[in-house]
Amino acid sequence: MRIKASVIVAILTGAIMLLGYFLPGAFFASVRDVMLRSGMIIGTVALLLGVGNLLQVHLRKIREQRPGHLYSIFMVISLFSVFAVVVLFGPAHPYSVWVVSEIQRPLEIGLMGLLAVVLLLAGVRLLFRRQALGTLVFFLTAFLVLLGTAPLPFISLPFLEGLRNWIVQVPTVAGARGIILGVALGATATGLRVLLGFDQPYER
Amino acid sequence: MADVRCPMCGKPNAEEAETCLYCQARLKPVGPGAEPLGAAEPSAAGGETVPDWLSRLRDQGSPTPGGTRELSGEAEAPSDQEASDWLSRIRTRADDESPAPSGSTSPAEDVFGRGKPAEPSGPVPAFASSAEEKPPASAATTPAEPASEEDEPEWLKRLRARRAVEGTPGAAPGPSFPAPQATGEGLPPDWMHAPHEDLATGPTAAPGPQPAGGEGIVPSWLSDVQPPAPAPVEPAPPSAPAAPAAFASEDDELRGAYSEKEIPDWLVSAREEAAAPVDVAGLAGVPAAPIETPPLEELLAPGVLPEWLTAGSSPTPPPIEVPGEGLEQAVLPPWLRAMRPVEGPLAPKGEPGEAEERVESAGPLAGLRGVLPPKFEAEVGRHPPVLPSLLDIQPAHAAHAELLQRIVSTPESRAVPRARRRPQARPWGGLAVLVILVAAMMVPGATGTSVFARPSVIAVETLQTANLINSLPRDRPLLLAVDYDAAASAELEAAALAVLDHVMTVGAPIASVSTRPVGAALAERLMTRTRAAHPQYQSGINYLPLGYLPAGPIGLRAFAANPWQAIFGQSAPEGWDAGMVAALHASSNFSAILVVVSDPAALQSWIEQVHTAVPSVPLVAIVSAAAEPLTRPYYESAFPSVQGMVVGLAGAEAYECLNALDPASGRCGRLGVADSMWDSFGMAVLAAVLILLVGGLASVIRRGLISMRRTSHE
Amino acid sequence: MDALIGWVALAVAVLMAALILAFSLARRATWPTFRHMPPFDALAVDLGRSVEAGTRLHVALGSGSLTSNDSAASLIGLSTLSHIATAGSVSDKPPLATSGDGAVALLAQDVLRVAFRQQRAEDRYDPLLGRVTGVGAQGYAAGAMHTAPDEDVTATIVLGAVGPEAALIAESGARRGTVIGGTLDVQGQTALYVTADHPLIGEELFASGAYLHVNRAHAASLQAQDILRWLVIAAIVGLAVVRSLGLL
Repeated sequence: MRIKASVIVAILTGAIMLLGYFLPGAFFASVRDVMLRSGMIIGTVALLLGVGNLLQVHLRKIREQRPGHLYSIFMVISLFSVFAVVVLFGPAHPYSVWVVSEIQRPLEIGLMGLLAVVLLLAGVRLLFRRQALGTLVFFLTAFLVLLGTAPLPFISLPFLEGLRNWIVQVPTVAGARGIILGVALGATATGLRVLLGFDQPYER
Repeated sequence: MADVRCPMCGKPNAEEAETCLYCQARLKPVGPGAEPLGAAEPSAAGGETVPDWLSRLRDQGSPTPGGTRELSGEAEAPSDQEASDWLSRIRTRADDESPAPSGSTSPAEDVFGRGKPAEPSGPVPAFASSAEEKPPASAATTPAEPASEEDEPEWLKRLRARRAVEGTPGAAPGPSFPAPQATGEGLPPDWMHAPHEDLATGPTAAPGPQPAGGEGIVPSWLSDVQPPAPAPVEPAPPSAPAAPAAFASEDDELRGAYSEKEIPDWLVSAREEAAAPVDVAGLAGVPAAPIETPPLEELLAPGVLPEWLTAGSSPTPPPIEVPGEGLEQAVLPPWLRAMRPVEGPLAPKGEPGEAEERVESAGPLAGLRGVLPPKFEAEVGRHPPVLPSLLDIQPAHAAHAELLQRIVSTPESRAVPRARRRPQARPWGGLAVLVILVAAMMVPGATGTSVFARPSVIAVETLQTANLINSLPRDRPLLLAVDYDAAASAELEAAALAVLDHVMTVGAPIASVSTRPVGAALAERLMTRTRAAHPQYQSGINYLPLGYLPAGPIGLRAFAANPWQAIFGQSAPEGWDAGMVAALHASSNFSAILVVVSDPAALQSWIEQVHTAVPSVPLVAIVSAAAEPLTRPYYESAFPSVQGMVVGLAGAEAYECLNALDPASGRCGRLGVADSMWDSFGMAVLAAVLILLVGGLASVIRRGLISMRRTSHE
Repeated sequence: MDALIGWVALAVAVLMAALILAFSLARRATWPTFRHMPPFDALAVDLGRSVEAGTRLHVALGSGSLTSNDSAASLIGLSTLSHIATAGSVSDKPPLATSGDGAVALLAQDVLRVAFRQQRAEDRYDPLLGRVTGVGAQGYAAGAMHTAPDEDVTATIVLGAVGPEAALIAESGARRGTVIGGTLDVQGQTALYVTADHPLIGEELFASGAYLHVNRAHAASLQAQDILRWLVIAAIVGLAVVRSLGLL
């Protein structure tokens, strides 16, 4: 069976990183540190790659004048403008902070507000779309937790707050822990498939 | 010169090319005067060499006066007139003679002895009508019928004469396939049972299949030309080895079915000879030994076949290899010779095996080596062998076949396909929810009222956070990790500002870092708003903005080893305090780590990558309410990784009111961001509760009504 | 304590690796039988319907990166994308993959290119079928929301690292067709449970490779996960009983 060089590199890198965690000694630790710093650089470059891909998509949209290309023009202009500001003045400069505080932050908060509306509406329609015991339990839990979270006007009902705290801290935490355990096992299996060479997402 | 597109791979080839350069598929079908299937444009009338017989056909049937009909990839169909002409000729001929046997040699019998159906007297068979509409691709190669009765070939006359002498000829020999059940189901109609010869062995001894129901499926137009009931079939000679029991019974059954039909002498003799040693092991009743067929040379002798069969312009095929036994070679017409299979690249090399040594002695393949015997191995699950042939399976076709196989082999889906959802015409529901929420949030600000009580009970984790901040040293920096997106800043800034204000009141230096690209700007925003009340904090003196830490957990691991090297690596910015910079060379120098996160995974990364490296440094978390269920275990664990928590807006409000709550009014004596949002927050959550209650009830009622309506309709 | 945790983690990893190897290399003619999961049946139906109708499938891979904690979700999304792309490459409108991370988008492009090459349709491959719609969670969601109406999408598959913003993507996709969603983030799972037609809860996302017959290693790892899950359950229950009895 012919083994590709990329598979060997992936397996060796993963093995060295794991051994660096479990085995004492300066050798593995130093190699691991070198790999960590290299990984940081690669992660930063990946960010730039994402921006490049985004630019490529919108430039093609503008070139082909597809529906919504005006928004793409605005996106490209704003991308280059903010890039220029941050490169010229630095990320901690008041101009850069102003862009984040006064433009990006309100936009993202608005998106989260839209998310709240979408989730509320979907929650209301859930009982209509899907009739199941799990759906009913989900709906009742969401209702009780919201009721316990909301400060009530003129009155105070500690019972609701206590019920909410119990729901959040006992069954929810238990369920979340179970999910996290399963996710951890699945993530371990996924990583092992890559380390053992069964999955090769880096090369076909 | 026009390029010819290969019909298999679509690549362009030269016009004169016989096979494709890329995939070796044949560009020009075998046959005299045929047009390449992938021709870019139809060739001109005079641009190719057309055989005489084909040109005659065209002249007879072409609508253009004296012109040859152009043959392109979509050849024109023979006209109704042409089809009717030869059909009428057959009909006329059949009326003159005794009824022809069903499927026996007809006037248009080809060289293989396969009869073509006579002209129908009743409804036109489907194949004729369909031929008028859309001819098959082999239409160009299908030889046309003789023009008139005068052109009837000698051999046909001889056959007819013989028929007249013999009376009603026998039934057609059986096909080379395993004898089907004579139950009338799935059997081909009578008129298809031509006395054709098996390509390898010639006519078999067993009579062909016939539905047990007799002539139930024979078209009426053919019934006129059907032979009378054949004579009873003579039984096989006693010296013949017994066929397998199953097939023997079938053979008798079929023989009996054909008992009414007269079998020609040559067929009887052929059957007797075929009754000689037969290999029955594992076969489906088909004799393995070659069976002598009527001499084909007689049929293929020059002058016997019409010109339209013998004339052709196809290139001379390779000569037939003469076997060592001196068998008389059959004279094959050029077009037939061109159809002979040739040895391909997969031909076995070296010592020839049994198949290679066997030389075909009869039929049009006479003289060829390696012709497969008519054996059928009934081994379940065995894939047919890959035979060398000119059939070129394209990689694309193989890939599609593999994909189809994979789709077919997947478990049967039990999902019921649901109809595609129609897009919503108007989002009334979303608008209504939005209007209700916004109105609810604006009421406290518009009316200036504050009716919601502040939290009276402060959570233990919040108190522990406050105590930890109170005990911070002033010579070691506090690490502020701003790891949330701008979308979560509305909720988290309230708690972060309250805690930072407390830190600055204590006077501990602060160093900020973020693993998010916008985190550095958000950290700067926090510090700017907090420093308004604490102007003694100066950048580089007691506040060090470390900026963005890339690569997530990988960067955190490197940060835990050496924070300064992970961020800067080289010299410090100008004006920074050397003592503070020195403290940043080891993560254990931090007095505490204050992590502000909206995502539990971010806190998990900080705990796993940094806190495990420096467990002596206390970690305090400011988390959103949504992240509480997943972050609380880190605080409540037997070996807690988080020493204090402030959760959501309620936690921020409680922190702001620490030591400042007015017991009489229930309000916080110190106004902060959380306090200013508290009433709007309460109204919005109450509105959401009401929407869920009303909307949920409406959904349940609506669903019940629909169910009742459906039940009443049923 | 940290050392004990480290050794336990190593033991779990070694045991899982051994189980994966054993199940992968075992000679077995048939695929192992798993419980019925409607989301994967719906995926096959949607895939076939989109190919027949000449519409597009949108695979949302999320905003997670390969260096983050949720990289496993991104890898699962990529393996599922390879299966979808193989079947959908013959369609007039091949599947489209969106991501909020540049490296994941590059891998998605590679997966699509290989699928097209395997189907001998490289001339129809478009690199921008794997694209970044926005950097960061909200930026990605804002861009991915418009993929469904702009690209004639009739089925949205959310398989990757997404948070609660997945509800925006799912709601936009639900206006055009069916939505199948799964993520490792608990908040994202909550959002998808409410908005998606076929949500994947918990670690059901990890079963996609086995149910879609990507390769035998996926089935083997799913079997290994099942075994280890039962071991963990037994350990939790056992330790809880022992501690309750005061023995530990």
